[in-house]
Amino acid sequence: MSQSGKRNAKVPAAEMTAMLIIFVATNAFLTYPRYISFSAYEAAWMEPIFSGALTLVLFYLVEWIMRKYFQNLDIVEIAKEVFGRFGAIFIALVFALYFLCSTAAVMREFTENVVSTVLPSTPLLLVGAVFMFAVGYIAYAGIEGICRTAFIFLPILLVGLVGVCLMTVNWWRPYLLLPLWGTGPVRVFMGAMQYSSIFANVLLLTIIFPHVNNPKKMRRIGAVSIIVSTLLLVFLVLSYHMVFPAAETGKTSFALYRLARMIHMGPFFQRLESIFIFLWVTAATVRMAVTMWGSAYLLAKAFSWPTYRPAVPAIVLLSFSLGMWPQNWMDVIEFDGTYLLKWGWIVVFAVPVAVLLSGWIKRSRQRHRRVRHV
Amino acid sequence: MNVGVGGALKRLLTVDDTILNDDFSLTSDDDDQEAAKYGDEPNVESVNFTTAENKMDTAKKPVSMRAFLRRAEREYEEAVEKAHAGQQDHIELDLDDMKRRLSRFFHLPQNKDIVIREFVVGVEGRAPWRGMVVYVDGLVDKNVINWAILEPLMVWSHLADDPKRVLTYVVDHLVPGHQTQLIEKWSEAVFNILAGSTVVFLDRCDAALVVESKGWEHRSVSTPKMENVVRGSQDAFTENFRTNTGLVRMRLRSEHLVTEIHAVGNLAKTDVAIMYIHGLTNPKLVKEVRRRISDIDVDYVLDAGMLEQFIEDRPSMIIPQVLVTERPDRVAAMLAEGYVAIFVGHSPVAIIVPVVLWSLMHTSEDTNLRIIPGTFIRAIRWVALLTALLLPGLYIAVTNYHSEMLPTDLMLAIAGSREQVPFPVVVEVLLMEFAIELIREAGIRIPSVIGPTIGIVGALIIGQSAVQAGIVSPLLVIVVATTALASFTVPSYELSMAIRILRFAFLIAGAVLGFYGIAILFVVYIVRLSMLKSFGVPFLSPVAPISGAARDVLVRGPIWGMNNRPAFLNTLRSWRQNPMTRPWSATTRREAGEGDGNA
Repeated sequence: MSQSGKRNAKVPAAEMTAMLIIFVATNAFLTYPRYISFSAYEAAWMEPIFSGALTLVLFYLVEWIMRKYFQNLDIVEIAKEVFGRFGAIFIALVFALYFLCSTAAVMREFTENVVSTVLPSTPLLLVGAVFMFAVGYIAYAGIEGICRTAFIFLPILLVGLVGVCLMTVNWWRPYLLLPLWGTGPVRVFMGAMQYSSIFANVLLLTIIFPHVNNPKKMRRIGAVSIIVSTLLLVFLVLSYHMVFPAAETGKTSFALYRLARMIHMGPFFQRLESIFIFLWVTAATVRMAVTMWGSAYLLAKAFSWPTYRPAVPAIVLLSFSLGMWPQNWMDVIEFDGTYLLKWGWIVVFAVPVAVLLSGWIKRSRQRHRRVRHV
Repeated sequence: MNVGVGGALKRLLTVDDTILNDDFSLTSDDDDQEAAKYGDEPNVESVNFTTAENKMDTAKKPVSMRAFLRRAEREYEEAVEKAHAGQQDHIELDLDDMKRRLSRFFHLPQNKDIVIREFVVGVEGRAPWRGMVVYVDGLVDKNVINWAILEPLMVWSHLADDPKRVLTYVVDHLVPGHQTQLIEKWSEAVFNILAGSTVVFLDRCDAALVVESKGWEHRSVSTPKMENVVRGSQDAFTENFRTNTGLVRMRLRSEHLVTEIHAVGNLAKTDVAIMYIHGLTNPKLVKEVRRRISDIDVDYVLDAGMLEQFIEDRPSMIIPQVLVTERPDRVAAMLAEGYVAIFVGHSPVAIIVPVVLWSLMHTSEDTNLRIIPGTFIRAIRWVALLTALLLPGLYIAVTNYHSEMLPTDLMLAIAGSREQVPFPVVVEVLLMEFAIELIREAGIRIPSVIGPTIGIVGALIIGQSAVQAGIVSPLLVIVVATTALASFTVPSYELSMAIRILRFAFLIAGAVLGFYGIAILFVVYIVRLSMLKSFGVPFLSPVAPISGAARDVLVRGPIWGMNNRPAFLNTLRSWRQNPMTRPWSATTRREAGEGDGNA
């Protein structure tokens, strides 16, 4: 539960998988569909596939290095070994800042979505404050609590997401998916690379590796979580693009809400968007709890605090303030699209891989030196 | 008449403040002289349990919480120690000394419950051999004392010489009580007297004889009051400790079924039995239960409801973390799974630990039904639980915030029914919920003679008058009635109470933030539950964290296929049955891969 040195929280494989699926699939509720639609048009559904494949390869690479050389260590401990204490603090601060900004941006986007769709008369601050309290509470419960909650809510999320997509079947026009390659293979591939940061599995792996109940199952956890979340995103984007023309999809921020509004299965089953509030809330709270926990955990590790928990309220306040800073919603979307989504891959993929490769090289050299001495 | 008028006038014009003097007011008896006045001898055992923090001492210095707790603990222990001070734990050789000690200890002659019957043992031609029996009137079977103790000793015995004037000879040859015990300690004698046994003291003996003679009045075994079933046994625990343990043992006839008995309480002891199956139940669990019970340091534990709050992990939570049942068959079944049962004194319920949320929604009937009906009634119960918890909140959320999701006809119907109602929806719902809670509480407290009144009054107020008066809408009556019905289907009374209270939280969340508020609260509470533990077992096991034997959680698992005990109990024997439970069946053999299935 705590990482106070007594014991690391241990999470079973199924719960870890659920958490990772929700973490990635939550992007379906946010601005990700808008950006990939804008970048690839009709071929937007291909982008999650390329991003997922890239993530899978990197995940296997990172998992192999960690299993072979850094058993029971997380990214901060590895950085400490490679770059020393200050280097580790710097790396941890970069990750923590990324998580903090991500939490703040998602919080603002999410609360704006809620206010604009279902609670138009409620003050944004109240909606955001309640949301942040819930997220802080879940983060305070620790990685065990987050993963257990994710496991409980995953079936509901899966049924809900697939349900939204399927219930719009009477609006599907498959010809809207043509031309197949949309803006062209190069732009599709570049977009996939750019927006691959939603698959934070690699970075999360380097943090949660010591918390997995059975590290041997880590490869399976990664594969299942990446494939399932990719499929979910692809299915959503396909449905979205079969209902709305590509030129229009790149201009709307809340794809799932628009889809839900289109549901009309007879006079009784219509306008079900309010029911999907449950899906959005559960998925978003779990996702943000992960980033908030990650932020607090990394800071605690970097500065050798005995526990991360006291940092949680401070991070809640900080991310809430950051999230409420921009004047309007569009500023947040702009910031998210320009920095977090576009350049997030550096933090999510490049830095962890670089740290691990450095560690790998260092350990290999040490081993060679030892062999030579013997 | 004149006197009357004069007296009244006099009272009117006289300042007389005796009217303000009460006949009696309860104050501290530190300076009480009444006892000496009425000739009560001060007892060496009399102890003032009033601790310093209870006295109205205004000149207190602030102390830290740790120091305060330490001081309270020390003072309490001193008081308890003082209560037992001066007690020698041996049995007096001289019968008169023994009698004096008994009189002093049990506050005789004021205390009329304690009976000391002196007698002389039948002896031929020698000095008389005196004795006495001591028991509590009302707790014993007098026939046992008359025919199994007094008559054999007084009438039928003819002791001739000294060597036979020993207690062992009396036990072996003279007292035909079915359960006897020789004791050498005064504390044991006191414990047995208070527990309903009869203690025999004989002159010049430094031991005493305990004869089991419990025979107080109690309710006989009757049908369950809270856990009724259609299929299954119809007996329930009663207000008798040994009857209750016997009801379980009658069903679970195993030599490995162990019943440990501990005594809890400083002022008065209450028997607490821990029941488990040796060699099956996890010894760590038994040890933990034993530790929590033996660590309870209180004056008195009345009932299982009190004890469970002393041993629960988080007693301040609304959700119960132990399972309370009045059904012996359920206790037997759960013991066979690897749980531990706790019986408290003469409480008519047993506590089962550890518990997981899903068990609180199961009944003993589930396993007696076939798999599909069993699953069906479980599903109904789960839907009912969610209905009882969320329906009023959802109603408020839909009418206040999400009316667009309703079909137009239904929305118009709701709007039409609310047209005459002057209150906002949340006030309307709160009024109705309050009325329902009143009826529920009154239904329990009302004397049974006027019980039917509650139905008439409740139906009139809620069903008819409130609607006619335009206080509430007819649709809301349906919502509240459905909610009340749903909450009655929750099998665990403690869980049902929790749902009743939590419903108000969801109601307020729905009123303030609609579906959004309900969803947030739901997630937060699930997280809270996921981190809760009952005797070391996560409360949402085996779902979160996921563990084996999860086939009998939400649905009713197939009896013939549930081969393992719940993994979260970590029992010493995980298999509860042979993997092939129906070897006579050709289908089973074929599925198990044994040839073509022919015998």
